[in-house]
Amino acid sequence: MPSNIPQAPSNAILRLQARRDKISQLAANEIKTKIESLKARPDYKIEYSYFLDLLSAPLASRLAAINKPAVAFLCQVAPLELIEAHGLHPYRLFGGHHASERLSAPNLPAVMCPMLRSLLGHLMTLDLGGDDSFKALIIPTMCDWTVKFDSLSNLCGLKLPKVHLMDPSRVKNSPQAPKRWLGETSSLNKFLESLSGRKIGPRELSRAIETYQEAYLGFSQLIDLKRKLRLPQIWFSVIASSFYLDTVQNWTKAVKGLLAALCLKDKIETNDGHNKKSQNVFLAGSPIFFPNFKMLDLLEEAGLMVVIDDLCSSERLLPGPVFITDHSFYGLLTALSQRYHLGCLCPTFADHHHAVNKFTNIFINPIFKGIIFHVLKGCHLFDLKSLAVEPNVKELGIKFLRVETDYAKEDANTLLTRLEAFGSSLGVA
Amino acid sequence: MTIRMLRLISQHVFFFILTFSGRLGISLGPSLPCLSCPYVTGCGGVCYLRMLQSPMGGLGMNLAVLFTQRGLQALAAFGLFVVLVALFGQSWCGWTCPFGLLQDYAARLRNKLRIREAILSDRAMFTIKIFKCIFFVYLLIIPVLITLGLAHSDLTLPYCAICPVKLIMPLITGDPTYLNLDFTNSVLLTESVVLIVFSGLVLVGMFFKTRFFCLICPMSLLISLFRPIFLLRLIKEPAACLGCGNCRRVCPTTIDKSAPLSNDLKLSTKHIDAVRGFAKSCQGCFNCAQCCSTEGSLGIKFGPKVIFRASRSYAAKLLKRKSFH
Repeated sequence: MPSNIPQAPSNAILRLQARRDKISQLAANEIKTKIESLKARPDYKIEYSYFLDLLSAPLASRLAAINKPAVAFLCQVAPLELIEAHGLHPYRLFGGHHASERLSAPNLPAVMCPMLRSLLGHLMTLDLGGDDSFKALIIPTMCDWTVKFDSLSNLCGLKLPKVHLMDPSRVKNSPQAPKRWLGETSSLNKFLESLSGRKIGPRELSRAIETYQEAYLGFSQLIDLKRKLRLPQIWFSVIASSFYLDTVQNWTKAVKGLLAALCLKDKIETNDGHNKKSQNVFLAGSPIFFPNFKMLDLLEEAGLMVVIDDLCSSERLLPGPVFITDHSFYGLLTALSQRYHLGCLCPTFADHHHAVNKFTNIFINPIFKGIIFHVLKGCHLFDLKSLAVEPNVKELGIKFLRVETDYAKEDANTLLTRLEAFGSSLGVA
Repeated sequence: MTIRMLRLISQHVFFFILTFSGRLGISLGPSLPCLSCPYVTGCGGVCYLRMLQSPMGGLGMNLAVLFTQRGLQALAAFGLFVVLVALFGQSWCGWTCPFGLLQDYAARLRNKLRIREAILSDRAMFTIKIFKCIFFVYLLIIPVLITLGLAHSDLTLPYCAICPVKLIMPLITGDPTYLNLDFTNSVLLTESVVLIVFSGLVLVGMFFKTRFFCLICPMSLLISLFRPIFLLRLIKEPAACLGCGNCRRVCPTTIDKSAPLSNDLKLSTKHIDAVRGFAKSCQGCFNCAQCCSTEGSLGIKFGPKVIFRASRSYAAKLLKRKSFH
C-alpha cells in the first residue's frame, strides 16, 4: 500500500486542536477586553493608539510586518543591540494571558511561575513547529524555570527553534564575572553570525547601539513624565510592552510623537510628582506583562500612583545609557556586555546589595512614600529579594507591602482591600 | 553646556596658553601642577617638577640659601603650588595638562581607526604604576646626591632630561631640538638615549592605552599626595550606587568607583568620599560623575558645596549630544 495517503487525525489530536482554538479565542478576547477598557479611560489619547494597535495584532502577523527575521529571547540581559546589528529583530517572549495558562497547566508543575506557564500556553497556541515566527530562541538562564525552559517546552509538546543558552555569572562582584559574561556575549555573537550568515563589524554594532540609545532617550523622558505624575503607570506599561512588536526606529518615532503631545498638555496642566504626595508609591518585584494588568488596575483603584518602578517589564526594559570610550568591536561588545550584566538588578544575582540600593537611595526617596513589592507565586527569586529589601526600607521609615499573587482574578478583592489599607497607612484619603 | 564640553574648552585654552602664550609675554609662573614644559619655546608657564629638581628649589637646595631671597622664592613657589593643588586637586591633570590633551587626541585617533584599546590587568597596572614612584624618588634624590657631591653634576634636572614631554611637546610646535643624541659625555649620551627610547614607548603606549603616560607621571603622584586638602573633589554615595560599571568604562585610568566599599547590606545615608575614587591615578576629569545615571550616586563637591550630582537626566543629556559615542 502506498504510505502517502493522508490519514485522518486521531480524536486526541482533534480534541487538543479544539482546545487550542478555544484558548486562542479566549486569549484574543482577553486582549480585546483590555484594549477596549484602555481606550475607554478618560486619559486615553490618540497617540496611544499606535501602541495599542501593536498589542492587539496577532503576533505572527506583527512579526511578519517587521520584515526582518525575529530572534526571541527570554530575559533582559541578552544584548538587544547585538541582535539588531545582525539584521535580526529581537523579540522578548513573555506571557501575560491568564487564558493561555489553562492550555499548558496540565503538563506543568502545579506551583510554577505564572508568567512562564502563560508563555508556554501562548506558544502552544502559536503552533511553533508549523510556522517560522522565530529563527531562534536565546535563553539567559536567569532562574530555575528558564534553565528548564527547554524541558518544560517538551512537556508541553512544543518544538522550539534553535535554542542558545547563556550563563549569567551569578556572582557579579567576582573579578571573573564580567569576563565570563563577555565570553557569553561573544558566543552569542557567533551564534547570531550562524543565523544571519554574516559577520558584523564595529560600524554595524555602533549603529545598532545608537539606535537603541535613541530609543532610551525617549524612554527616559517617559520615565521623567511618570515621576511627575504626568504619565500613569498603566500607559507606561502599555508602551513598554509594545517595544518588541515593531522596529525600534518606528517605536521611538511613536514615543517622540507621544512625548510631544504630552508635553503640549503640560503647558496647560502642571502636576508635579515631586511634592511628596501621599499616594506616590514605588512598584517593584516580578514583571507585569500585557494584558495581565491586574496589579496596575488594583493600584489605581486603591488610589495609589506608581511614580517609580523596578520591573524588568517596565522601567528596566532598556538597560540605560551605554557610554563607550573604546570604539573597536571588542570595546563595543565589552561595553554592551557590562551594561547588560553589571547594570542588571535582577534578584538572580548573589550579591544584590546594589539592587537594594535602588529602594533606599535617599535621592529618589522623597518622591514616594511606600513600596509595593509584587511577587508572582512560584517566583522565589523575587520572594527572596522582598525579604532582603523589607528590613532595609523599614529602617528608613518607608512603608512596605509585599503582595503575592498570580494571573487569576479570584484574589482581586482581597488584594484591593490590602492595597486600600496600605494607602490609608500612607495617608491616602 | 555639559561638564565634558567645559572640560574640552578648558583643555584647549590651557593648551594654547601653556604652549604658546609666552610668545605674547604671558607667563603663569613656575608652580604649575601640570606638564607645562619649559623646553617648549614660548611656553606660558612651567611645570612645578622642574622647580622641585633644580638646585634652587628642591630637596637639593643648600640649607645656607634657604633663608635668602632665593630660598624664599622657592618656598613661595611651593606655597603657590600647594594652593593651586588644594583649589583644583587632580583636575589639573584632566582639565589643563597640555600633554594630557595630546594623549586624548591619540585615543581619539585610535577610536577613529576602530583599534582596540589595550587592556591591562590589575597586576600590569600595578607594575606600571611602580615606575611613577621610581621617577618621583629619582627626581627628589638625585639633586640631593649632586649637592652632596655623590652624583655627576650633569644629572641636574634628572627627570626633565628623560621626560618624554621634553621631546614630544617641542616636536608638536615644530622644534626637533631634543630629537638627537648628546655625545658630550656618557651621562648626557645615556640621558638622550633614554629620552628617545622612553618617548617612543610613551607614544606607542598613549596610542594603545588612553592616558598611558598619566599612569607613570610623577606629577600625578605629587598632586595626589595633597588629596586630604583638595577643595574640588569627587563624592560617592555608596548606598545609591547600582553598580552598572559606566564609571569604570569612561574613566581614562579605569578606576572602578562602582566597586562596593563593603559587602554587607549596611546602608549609609551620609555622603562619604569614595576612597577608590581618589586613587592616585585619578585625572579629575569627572567623566564618571557625568556618565553615572543613578540619582546622586556620584557627585562633585567644591569645599562644602555640592556643585554637581549624577542623574539619569544628565546622563541622557550626554547621550543626546553623542558624547562618549
